[in-house]
Amino acid sequence: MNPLVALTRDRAALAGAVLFACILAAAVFAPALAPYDPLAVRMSERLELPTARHLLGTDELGRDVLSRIIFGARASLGVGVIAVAIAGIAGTGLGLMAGYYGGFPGTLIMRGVDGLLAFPAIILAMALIATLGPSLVNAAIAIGIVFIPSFARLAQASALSLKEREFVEAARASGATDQYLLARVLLPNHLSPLLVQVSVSFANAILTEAALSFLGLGVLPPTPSWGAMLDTGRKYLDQTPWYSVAAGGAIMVAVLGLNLLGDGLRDALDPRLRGRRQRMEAPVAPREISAQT
Amino acid sequence: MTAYVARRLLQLLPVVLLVSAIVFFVFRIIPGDAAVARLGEAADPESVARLRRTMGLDRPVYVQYLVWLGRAVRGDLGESQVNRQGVFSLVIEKFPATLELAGLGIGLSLMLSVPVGILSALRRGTLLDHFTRLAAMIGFCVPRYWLAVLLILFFAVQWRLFPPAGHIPFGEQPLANLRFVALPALSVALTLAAVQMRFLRSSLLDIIAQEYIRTAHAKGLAHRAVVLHHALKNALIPFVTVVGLEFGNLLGGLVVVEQIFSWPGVGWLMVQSIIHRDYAVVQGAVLLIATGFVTINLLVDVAYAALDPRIRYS
Repeated sequence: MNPLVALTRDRAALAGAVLFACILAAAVFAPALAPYDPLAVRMSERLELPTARHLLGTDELGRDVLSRIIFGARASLGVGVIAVAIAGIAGTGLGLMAGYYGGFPGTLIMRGVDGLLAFPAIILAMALIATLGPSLVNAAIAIGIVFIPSFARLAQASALSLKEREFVEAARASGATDQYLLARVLLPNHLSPLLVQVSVSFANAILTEAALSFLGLGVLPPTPSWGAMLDTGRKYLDQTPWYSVAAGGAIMVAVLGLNLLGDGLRDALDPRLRGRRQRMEAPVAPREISAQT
Repeated sequence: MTAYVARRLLQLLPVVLLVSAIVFFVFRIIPGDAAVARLGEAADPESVARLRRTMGLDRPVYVQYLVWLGRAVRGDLGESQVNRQGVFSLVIEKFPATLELAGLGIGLSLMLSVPVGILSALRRGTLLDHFTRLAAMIGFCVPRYWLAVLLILFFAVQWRLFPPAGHIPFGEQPLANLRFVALPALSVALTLAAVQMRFLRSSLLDIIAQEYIRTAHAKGLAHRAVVLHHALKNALIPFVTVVGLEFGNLLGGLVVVEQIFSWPGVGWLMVQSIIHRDYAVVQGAVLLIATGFVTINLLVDVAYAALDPRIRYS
């Protein structure tokens, strides 16, 4: 069965795709969807409970919470895209090279990766931001660096098993250069696990960005960000609980959507898993355990 | 076994060295000159040069690293810019609070995940199984900091059962300490239990599908006896590893929880120090957390090898 067909027959994966599509649509069409300007301060309307005018109430400066949540998708997805691009390109490149060349350069790369893995992810990201200074772009860079090891390990494992296969031997025997083998032979054959890793890392990046913004180390005010809203909102839990709760809910919807999609991709791209209801039975990888920040 | 432990300990050394190098060089990225930062922009070049010499900033970077490493090994991580206290003692002081939260969180999560995980595997495909799996999926995707906010909303703001934040050392008032630790520990436990339950259920089901379990069934043993006596023991081996890894990960995973509940642990100290630009403390905390992290992971490996002899000989 075609992986795409398999994916569309997987209800959980479809639900994940729909959830993620909603978040993506919110980010892209935010100006059209948001009922108010997310930055417009109206002190006379501060900390209102949900009403017909403000569906999720207002925040401590009278700004519309729903509009800020819709615009907040931009920060979360933006950081996610940059972070996963950095980690995906650097990690996959380094991992493929480490696996393909092996020997001293391979060991050197993988020891560096082990060094990065010796830190809890968020601690290393916080250390990087402490030195780079808090901002959206720096948060994305820090998260990207922290996520390099998971991509590198995956790519190295792929390269190690692929380089012994006959079609790689055949390509080499017919005169293919190392660069050609890496970019045109190994990389395309690594795309399936890479795609799954991208969706899982994207979810983790959103979680980590929200955590950093929550701590005041990510997106800076007044730019709307779910993590920062969760943090500010918790100070007004006795007045407008929806403020904080809605921001956290948005984070959860994005993460849930990406995780369901990732699970579905894994099943659809790996013919051995297809058809078996593997999802909840699949063992949890140690890296997934660290997802929670 | 001794040989295995010795080998793993030897492997720890380069990792810790690498960690220390990463920590040192990450904190070299800080823009600007540390001597200028301490004396202010208006300081005359001569005193800046003098301070640079006393701080060792005029020497090559690798020498600076070795000097810093030499001091770090002796427990000298510099002093806090904020209160002039030694960084090492400042960070170590905060570890008990973090460990209390991590320990209680893990303990509570196990009380929940082990019975539910076993029951879910035993009654596979029943309503109970579907319900626990759904609960686990939700628990897996709920951000821990959101769960913490929800717990505060209901248990502290609405029903006023527990204080929303704060900390009293266990040694001073044990009961008050438990009231303060309840919500943060619960927020940790519920999210961990989801992962543990999923894992225990799946490894139990994997093992139940194996030949020796079929043999046990063929002998006429009751299903419950087969699961509890034959399958569970083997399923618990990887489970111990997962729980151990979770414990290590909590060193990072507690940062936000500690911040939400004003719980004065290492993560809380780190966030406060970043806000106050107290780089020496941040650097020391990162170094000690990472060292603790790799040490815990080593202990997990050793425990795994002790439980499963196949690991030692491979």
